[in-house]
Amino acid sequence: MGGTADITNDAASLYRFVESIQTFCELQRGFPAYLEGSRVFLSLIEELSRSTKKYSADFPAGLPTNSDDYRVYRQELRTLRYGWYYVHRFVKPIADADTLRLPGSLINSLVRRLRSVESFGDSKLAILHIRELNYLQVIASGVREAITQISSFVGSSSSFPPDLGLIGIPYSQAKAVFLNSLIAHEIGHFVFEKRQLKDALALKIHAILNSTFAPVKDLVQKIGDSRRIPTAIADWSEELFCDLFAVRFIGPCYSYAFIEIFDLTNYLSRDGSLDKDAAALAVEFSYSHPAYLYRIQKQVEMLKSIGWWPHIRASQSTCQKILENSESLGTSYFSFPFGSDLQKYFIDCLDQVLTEIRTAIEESLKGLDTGVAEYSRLSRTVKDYLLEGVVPSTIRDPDSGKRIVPETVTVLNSAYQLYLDDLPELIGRIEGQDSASVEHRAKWTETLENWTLKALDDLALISAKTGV
Amino acid sequence: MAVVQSSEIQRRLGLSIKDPASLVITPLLNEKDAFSVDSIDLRLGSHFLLPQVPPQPYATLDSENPKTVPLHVHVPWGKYLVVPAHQTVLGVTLEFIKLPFDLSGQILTKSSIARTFVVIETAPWIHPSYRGCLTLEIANVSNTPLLLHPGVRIGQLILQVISPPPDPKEAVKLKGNYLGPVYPEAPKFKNLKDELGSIGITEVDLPGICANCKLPVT
Repeated sequence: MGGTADITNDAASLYRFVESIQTFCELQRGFPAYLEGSRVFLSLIEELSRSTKKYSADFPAGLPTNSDDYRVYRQELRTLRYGWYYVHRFVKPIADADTLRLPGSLINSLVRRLRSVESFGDSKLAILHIRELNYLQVIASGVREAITQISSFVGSSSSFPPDLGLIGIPYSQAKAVFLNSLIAHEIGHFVFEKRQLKDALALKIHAILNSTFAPVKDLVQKIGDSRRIPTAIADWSEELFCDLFAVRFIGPCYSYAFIEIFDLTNYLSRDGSLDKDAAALAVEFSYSHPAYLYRIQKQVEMLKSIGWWPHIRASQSTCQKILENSESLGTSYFSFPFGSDLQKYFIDCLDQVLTEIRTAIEESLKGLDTGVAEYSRLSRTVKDYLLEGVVPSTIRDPDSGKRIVPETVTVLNSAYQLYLDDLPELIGRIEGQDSASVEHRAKWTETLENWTLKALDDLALISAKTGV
Repeated sequence: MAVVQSSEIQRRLGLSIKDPASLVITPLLNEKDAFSVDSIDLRLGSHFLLPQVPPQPYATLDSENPKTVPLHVHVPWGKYLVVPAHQTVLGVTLEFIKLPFDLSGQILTKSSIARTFVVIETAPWIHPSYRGCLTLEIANVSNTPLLLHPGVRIGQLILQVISPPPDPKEAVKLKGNYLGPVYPEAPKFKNLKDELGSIGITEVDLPGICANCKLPVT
């Protein structure tokens, strides 16, 4: 019977396809090592691979004799294959991101911090490498649906864990520490999704939109793409949520990394002021993202409102200059993709939405210390350790003289500040090294990042032992 | 040279980091058990370099020839690395150490480890003002494969006073080829011809390599 042969061939093809995916998942059982979240994901896919292979092997035996049912039966294989197409895109990028190819200590520290928040106690992150120089959070619902669909077909009980987040980082930044502070933004997306804030904010955004734009209803209707306004506002809101979440979660190091990845310091004139012509692109909102400098402006407001500002404003770094310059930008300076006539209304609308966003962030991170108080007390000491070429995982309390253990936020922000402000001082203390040398600067930045990672790794061990 | 006693070690651990006489050992897990009267226990870190067979069938003490890139392996806490019998691996201490300007140190294999015929250090001397995790040249000279779990106590650090003490001002500059490592460090050699040339040896022989079979030809 020709149908059986076709079915057997298709089933074998799927079997081979899934088996090849399974080989990547098997890596997590030996070397290299993976983060807990990545292990969970790869184990899940491995189990699903086994179930799918068994299903494929048994598939030809179930071929119905009735030719009407043949097409429907065969369709199962096709649907299953589509599910696996979707899963396929994540497996190798996660298998590639083993603990030697990502800043594991940093990510573990961020996860530990997130877990200290009620309702995020079981959170895990699987990290994947991506080609773009960008960071992203994979919307879990797509993966969840694909896995649920595969499971239901092949009779597996596997399901996508509700507390697992999938975050993509650029493969080239696998060993960076400071720039990877941007992961906090992606954790924001994870929290946004998990707390279903899109839905929660949607109603509020709708009401704000209606009231804000009511006086110019006719004008709005004249805009060709006015139907996109609600979606754009919703997308901007999510991005702003994630920015402000990141600042609240780990402090100013997020803003510094944001400035670095988007190369915003290039918009500074020689005298340290903002070159507004050069920065023209940085004040434009796109349909999906708020303008870079608007985002920075809002981050500065957050840094001020939670108490970071007095502790960072003395910095002479170019990052700090961008933060300060963003403040001076009037609201009229920002442009929107829907034309200039509604500019004022968009700003008003976002101001109101931001109030809701700040409330949502505080509710999401309820009980989580900002870390400002400890930073203000210990950052000088942490920097002194780093300037002495010493990993600051145990430091001498400047007040009591006792040996104490600083928190992640203190270590990360102190090290980043040192990188921005005092790297020449560190290099100047090392025999034969010159802070004017690009190579020397790159080398000692990497070393500083390694010391930071080591400190974060030590903190995890110490906290595991003390239960803190 | 007098061996430094634990009370003096504790005193120095409490000094300001800016004091050249200060000592740092971090993290000190199970601190009460870490100290003996004249030594501190050190633990095994979680990063290793596994030697690879070089592209040419020999190794030299030369920066140029041939280059072997060891395999970097991370073994998470709770997992283990197998060191086969008669094999070697570079490990690292869990603890990051900063020595005072006036103390030098030695790292010795813990006696219990040594009795399994494992040697952790063949270049045990640590210079004053050193900063970094210590690279361990671990050799399993027994006839049995050995499982190494990161975090186990593996060595003992002994500190000795330099007499007379050096000038603390000399400790202001950080120095050394291996400043501040947190991972095991592969060896760094100078150019062999330059190195030997500096003592007047101008002709240095190295085996030629057959382009086809990659074996040395004389």
